[in-house]
Amino acid sequence: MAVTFRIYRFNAEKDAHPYYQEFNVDLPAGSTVLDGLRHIKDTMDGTLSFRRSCRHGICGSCGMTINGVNRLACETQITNLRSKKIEVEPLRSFPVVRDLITDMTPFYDRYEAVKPYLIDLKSPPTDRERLQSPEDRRKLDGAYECILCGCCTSSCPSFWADKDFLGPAALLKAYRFVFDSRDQDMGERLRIVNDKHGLWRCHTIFNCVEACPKDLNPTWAVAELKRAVIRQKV
Amino acid sequence: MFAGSSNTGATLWFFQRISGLLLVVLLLLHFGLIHGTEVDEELHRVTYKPVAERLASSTWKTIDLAFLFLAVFHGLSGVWMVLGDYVHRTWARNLLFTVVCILGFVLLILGSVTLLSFKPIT
Repeated sequence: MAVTFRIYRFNAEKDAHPYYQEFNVDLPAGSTVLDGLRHIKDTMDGTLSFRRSCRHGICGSCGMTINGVNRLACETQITNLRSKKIEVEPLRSFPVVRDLITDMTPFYDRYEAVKPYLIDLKSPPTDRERLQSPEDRRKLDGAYECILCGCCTSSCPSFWADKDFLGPAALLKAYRFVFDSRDQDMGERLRIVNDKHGLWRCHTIFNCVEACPKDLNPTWAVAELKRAVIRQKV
Repeated sequence: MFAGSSNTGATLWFFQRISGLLLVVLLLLHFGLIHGTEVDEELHRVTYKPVAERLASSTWKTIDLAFLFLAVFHGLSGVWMVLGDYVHRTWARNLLFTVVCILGFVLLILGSVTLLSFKPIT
């Protein structure tokens, strides 16, 4: 399978401006974009830099923009792209460190801001687990599976316009804890997301839903959080 | 950052939805009348008489005033939300907010004067 990779290159220590470099490669059938990038790095240009780890769509390291769409390189089959030319760029709106590697600090800062952990205002029980009914557990389906790849936040026009916006990943995580029956500080978390750079910057554009490689729906989670905030106010 | 604030946009967002719902009802009523019951059967178009008769009644003046207020609020709050996405400096936001408010006020005055002073020509 002969394909051409057109890859975004930038080395802050050497390059004044980013540029694109093309690599013609011949890959076995069934190869993913990550296989192609590894082939280029191993056999053609060892300076090509990108993040990868698990190769199974779990670690979230290899989120990048492939043919204009945010995806995981390890889960993207080249044949499914239906193109002999594959353009690979770093995730948009995050500062580029080198080639396809972005600085994810703004992403993690926002994630941390929503307090992504169970808040226990009383002392936890020492004689049993904190049990949850199957119904309460089901409320978290579609909210806990996020792998923090950043594909959603990077594809969000509200995030492009407002760099202080919490972004879909952080808001989905906030939903995951706000609606967890074991969490004891819904009010504090709703106070955090009820910010001018929080919930209300989401205009239900649905880019995050299209971008999510895990088929999650942050837009729906944001709508639920908005309802919860309004219910609290009314 | 992200500590919650009194001016979050929640209230504006809520009333944007409420005004949107009311506008759907009023728009359906408006189109039903203008393009339905007030269309002249012979000429196949809206004529002055039925519209003027309707606008002369205080009930319709009230309904149309509500329509005007909701439309101006809904439209300009939408503009303000878009501006909120792109304008982040406090002085620029304050300036634009003042401009949006003045624009809304002028539109409301013009629309209200037109509606309230309307008298049908007999």
